[in-house]
Amino acid sequence: MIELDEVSVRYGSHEAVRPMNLKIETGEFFTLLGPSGCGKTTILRAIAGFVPVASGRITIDGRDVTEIPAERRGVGMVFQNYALFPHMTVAENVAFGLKVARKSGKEISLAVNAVLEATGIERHGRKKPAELSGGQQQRVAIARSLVMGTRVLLFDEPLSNLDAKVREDMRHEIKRLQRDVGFTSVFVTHDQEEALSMSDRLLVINAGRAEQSGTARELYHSPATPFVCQFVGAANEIGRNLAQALGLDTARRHFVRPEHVALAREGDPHGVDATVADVDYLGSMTRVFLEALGEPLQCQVLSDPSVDQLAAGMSVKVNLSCERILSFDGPS
Amino acid sequence: MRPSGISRFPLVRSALLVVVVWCAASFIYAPIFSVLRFAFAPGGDIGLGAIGELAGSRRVRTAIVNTFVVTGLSIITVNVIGIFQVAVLEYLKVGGRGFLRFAYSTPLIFVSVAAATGYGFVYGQNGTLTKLLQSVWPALPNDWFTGTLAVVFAHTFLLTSFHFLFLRAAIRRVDYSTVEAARGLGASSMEAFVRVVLPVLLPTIFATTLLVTYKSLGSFAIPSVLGGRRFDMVTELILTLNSLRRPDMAAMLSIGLGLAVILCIAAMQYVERRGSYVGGSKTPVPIERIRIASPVVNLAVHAAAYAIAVIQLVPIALVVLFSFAPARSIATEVLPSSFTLQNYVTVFSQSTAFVPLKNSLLMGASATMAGLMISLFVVNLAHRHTNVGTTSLDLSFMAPWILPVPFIAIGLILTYDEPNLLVANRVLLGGFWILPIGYAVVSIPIMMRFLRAAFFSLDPALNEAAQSLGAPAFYRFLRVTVPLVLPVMILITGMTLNVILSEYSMSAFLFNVNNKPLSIALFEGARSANPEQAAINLVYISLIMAFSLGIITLADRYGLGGGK
Ligand SMILES: Nc1ncnc2c1ncn2[C@@H]1O[C@H](COP(=O)(O)OP(=O)(O)O)[C@@H](O)[C@H]1O
Ligand SMILES: [Mg+2]
Repeated sequence: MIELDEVSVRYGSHEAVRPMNLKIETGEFFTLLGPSGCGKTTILRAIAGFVPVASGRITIDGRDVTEIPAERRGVGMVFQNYALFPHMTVAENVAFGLKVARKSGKEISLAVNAVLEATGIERHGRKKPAELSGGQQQRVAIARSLVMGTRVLLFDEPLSNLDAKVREDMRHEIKRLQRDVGFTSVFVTHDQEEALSMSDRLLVINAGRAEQSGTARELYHSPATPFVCQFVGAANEIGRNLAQALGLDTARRHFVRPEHVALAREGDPHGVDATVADVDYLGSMTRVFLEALGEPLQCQVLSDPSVDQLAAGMSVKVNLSCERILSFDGPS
Repeated sequence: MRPSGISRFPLVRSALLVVVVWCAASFIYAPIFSVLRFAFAPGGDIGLGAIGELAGSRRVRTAIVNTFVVTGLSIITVNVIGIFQVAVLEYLKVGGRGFLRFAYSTPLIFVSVAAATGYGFVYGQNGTLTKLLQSVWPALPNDWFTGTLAVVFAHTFLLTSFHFLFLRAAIRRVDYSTVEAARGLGASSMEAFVRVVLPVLLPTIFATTLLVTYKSLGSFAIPSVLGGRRFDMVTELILTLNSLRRPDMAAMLSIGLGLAVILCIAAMQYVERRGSYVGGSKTPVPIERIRIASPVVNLAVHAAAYAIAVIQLVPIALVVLFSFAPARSIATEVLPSSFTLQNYVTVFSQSTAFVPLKNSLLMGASATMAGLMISLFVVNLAHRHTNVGTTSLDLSFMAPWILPVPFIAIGLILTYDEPNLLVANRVLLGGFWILPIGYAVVSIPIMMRFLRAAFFSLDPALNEAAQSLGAPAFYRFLRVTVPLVLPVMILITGMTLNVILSEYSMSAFLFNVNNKPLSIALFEGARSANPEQAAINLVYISLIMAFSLGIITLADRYGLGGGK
């Protein structure tokens, strides 16, 4: 278990991470999600021991590691560019940590072979990193930590250098390895789809501050802050006119997800009048851009023949059911 | 946060720091101070008397005029030849490109006093080419190849290396689609070159021009060997003034030369910073070579291209050929009629012939090693901790980069021609070590530039990856950092040694009977009428070229081709 207790990090006078509490369970796939520059890498590097904390404590499996240098934390790191040693072969890269630990040659070769096999790169042991594909390099980077018996792996946006197809494969690859080996993963990304699809639990970070942690479903259905509401999944902020028409408290902020905006025919007795501004056909779904009471509103519906008839300029009615509206304190 | 290997041993590090600071104080600051003191306050009173005396001397005025005339002419001729060579190699379809490229690359290995002596050998009194020319034109005097003509001629064909390195690299970055666009709009290949390619190359041409200016202003070996006894340029005159016991005038003149050099470098940096026109387009099309449409122009271009190649190759070919010829054939034959290894045997077995080679190797190796250690220490320190202290240390060792060699040499002479407390009250002048110290001082800035580039291109994540795998600092330094910068270290060692083997300027100021280097032996050999001596010179030149060739081939293979 990794625990952050009121941990903050400063770069000079700039507080990159505000005092933060966090618990990551053993064997969990935990993701730090947030826009670029919000402090995700900094938190990861604090856990790994590459940046000192300004305040607070970090414990790993009950051991206080706050003051322990990176080389003695037993935490593996998979860097954005993998940081494989270019002058060593794949097998030498994997053996590096064992050599540092002065293991015997026999022990090293056994362990290296076993982990190369487990990660599916046994055929590439004698190659240099530059000869491998991005996906294979990532496996070497993971193997290099796993061979040490490391049970905590930190990933800093490891998929951002890969193209879309390989990315998808590598997501599953990381998940499979994690399930098979059972290590704890702390994964950093700014890509919400990646975060939602891979994680057991996530933490959403904004400007160095922890906004909310929980499972993907919790964050999506019950966001704690407007930021989480908008960053995890899409959300319409309901404008003042519409809020008034719906009888909502205008002192608060209200959001609704596009799939919770229902469309009705023009003559429908319920609902608010709206005009279609534009229609994006996405295959199974259709996204409709509306204007209701002079305010923009997005709606996402399953494609069907009645939806296909929608065109810019048409008048429709929209229905927002109250229990689907997400409301937050604070000025609108 | 990233403690270095050494920092775990604070005592060792402090001791090293003290040594390095002492080096900077003794061999950089003290000499600079001496030059300023002798120039502006020779007798203790501050004054500008030296300037008046310099201005009043005819010999000084002539030398300054010569320097400017040679530099002005060289700028024009070197650019004409250099730009033409680059066009031939990279822009026009010319047959035998591989051969031409080889010929045009020879100024990289045929440098300094070796090249000057080589030119003297073929164009001088008994030179093969002089004999050849006289057979066509008997009225040609034996010593036709002297003065401004000889110096500018040698500059023209020896200073094109900057064009070969930098202009060629620049033209390869030109987006060929702009040439095609111009031709589509009706421009001929020549017009396209002049109107589209050249303007893009202009910043680079300007930068190479400044490098040529810099080299030419400080030119020493070439005018000394080829200029004749009554022809002086500024550097040679500084040496003369110093030996005439006028250190004040020598110091002042070296300051003047220094100002000219600093101006050149400042202009160069300005051009570099303004940047070049790279990439209007996201996907530049590599430049393609163009066939010359007009047969007459085509013939003329081929003729000129090969003529230049011959001019550059013939001296080298003759030097190498005659180095394998019996000594007696040197003064008598146009081409050697028999071959032998005797000259090489002589150089390696006869002590008088071997000593300069041994001296140069010994001084080169010690200067390179000391320079490398200092550079490594300073660069590593400045890379890890950026603060006023490390930055000023870094800048101190970079200072000799903007100071001309005579300035530093005069500084060392004036500082160490009497007992000096900085070196335990000893006199360094006249001893063995003063010259290697001078070599090291001028080599360090180049080493630091390369090392710094190597350190900054290291991915810090590699160090961190090793750390998170449990490797302590010293292990990381040895197993990750050193292997990754090792190729650079080996190459700069080779390149520095290469430069020192034929270094002439510093050598001429600081050598003495205890450490006569190769370059001075070459210079003296070139003046002797003894064919045995000439033969030994040819062996020296061939060995220097072979060494340079090896180093440059290595550097090229590892993508480190010629730093400035
Ligand atoms: N070494 C550093 N020195 C100073 N500021 C830094 C440093 N590293 C990151 N920062 C700043 O800290 C903030 C968080 O950075 P980072 O953790 O890299 O964000 P993320 O990984 O979420 O993109 C940013 O504002 C960044 O500019
Ligand atoms: Mg980051």
